[in-house]
Amino acid sequence: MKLLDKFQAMAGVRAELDGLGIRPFGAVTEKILSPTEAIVDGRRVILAGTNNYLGLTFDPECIAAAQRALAEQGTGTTGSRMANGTFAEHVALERELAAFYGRRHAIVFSTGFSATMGMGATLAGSGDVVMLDADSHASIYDGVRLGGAEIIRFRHNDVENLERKLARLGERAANTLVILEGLYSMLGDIAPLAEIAQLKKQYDFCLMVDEAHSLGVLGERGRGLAEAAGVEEAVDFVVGTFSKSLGSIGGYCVSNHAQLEAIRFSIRSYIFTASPSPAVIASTRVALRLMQERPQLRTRLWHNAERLYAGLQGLGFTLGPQASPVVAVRIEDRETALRWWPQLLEQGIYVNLVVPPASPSAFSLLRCSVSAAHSDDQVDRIIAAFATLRTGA
Amino acid sequence: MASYEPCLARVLEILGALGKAKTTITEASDLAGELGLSSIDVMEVIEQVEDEFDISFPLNSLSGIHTVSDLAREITRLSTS
Repeated sequence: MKLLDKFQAMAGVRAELDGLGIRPFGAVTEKILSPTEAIVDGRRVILAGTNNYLGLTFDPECIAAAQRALAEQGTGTTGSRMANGTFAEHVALERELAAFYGRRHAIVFSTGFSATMGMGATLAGSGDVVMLDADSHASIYDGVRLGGAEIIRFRHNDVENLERKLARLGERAANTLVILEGLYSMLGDIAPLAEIAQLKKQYDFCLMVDEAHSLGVLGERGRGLAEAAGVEEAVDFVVGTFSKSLGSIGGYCVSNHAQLEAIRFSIRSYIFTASPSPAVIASTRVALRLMQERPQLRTRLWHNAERLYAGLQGLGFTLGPQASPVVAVRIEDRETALRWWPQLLEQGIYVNLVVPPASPSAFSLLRCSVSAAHSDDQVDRIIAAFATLRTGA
Repeated sequence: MASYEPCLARVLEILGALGKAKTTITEASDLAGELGLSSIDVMEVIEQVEDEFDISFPLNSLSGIHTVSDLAREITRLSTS
């Protein structure tokens, strides 16, 4: 087999989609109108697949801060955090993140992917063990592979399965990094973190939680699942992203471990890339403040999440196991998912199409995500569009 | 602790029950190519053998597993180590 032959299967998928006249993977947003509306592929749509949980992407304060930073500090840093790319604002954001989480140390990364990948790759190396939830994000899988640790996955959200595997490790459990996510991006379900934190007492492992989808979504102050579950002390490292609730791009890690400052100088995805641009850092800092000042955004987000979940459940769709800002409609056969996605788009609803192997099982998903910025009318229009899939109207 | 033969026999049973193979499954069958198993199918098989043989299967081992025999040998190794 020649080097490029392995891409034939993917080329076949692309050709199949082209034949159907649909472009679910890379649909072009021609004009973004608001946090919840856009022109996509020539059609005005309600955005129901964006991860813009708090709807802050068009907040005037965030935009003004970004504009000021752009004018005063330029378009980019052109360098690594380890060289010329640490501006006072990067350090300020790290200080603000640490204060928000009530932890002593914070690192800001250029993307959420580089944060989770970099921490996974750096914390556990040769001779160590990583235990990760089976539904973990690609950045976690990729990172731990780079690190060279022995990688064992446990069944998704299955505490018993995790404990059985920890028990098999014996003394090596103390050399183990357990990784899970607060809120899973595909099915919108939440990790049994309180039970997993309990296991630490017996097995003494290190725990890293990716709060990418739960920052601003869970917890009284929006710190994520660890706060909501009341087990923040048990979580050694929290990683996350700015590209969801905070409406920009970038990633972070916070911890009370003093070693995080030494770890910082060992993370290749932190060292060998340019730091986030000043405008990104400026809008992120404002969004982090607004998220704390406006808890009503979280209340509104959950109102919308529960409204959409109940509406789709009432139509008889199979959904993820619990209501959350990610509402995934599970579809047994891929062909139906490929037929339904453009039907929703034609009715002015953009959702995410997820097919195996990107989905966590052999099923396909029409993945919706809601925002605090959605109105009741918009949520009802999403539900109404799904209703026509059932009736064929 | 299990030896190779019972591991192989059980792997053949599990793969047969999956119902994916269009040809006879043998020790030499290639999991992805000949039997058409997706990465999700392979993980399902691994979850089953982990429970049955009381082992934890490192993902690091997967890159070296191409055939039914490779899988049975790795299970044998893990259950005797």
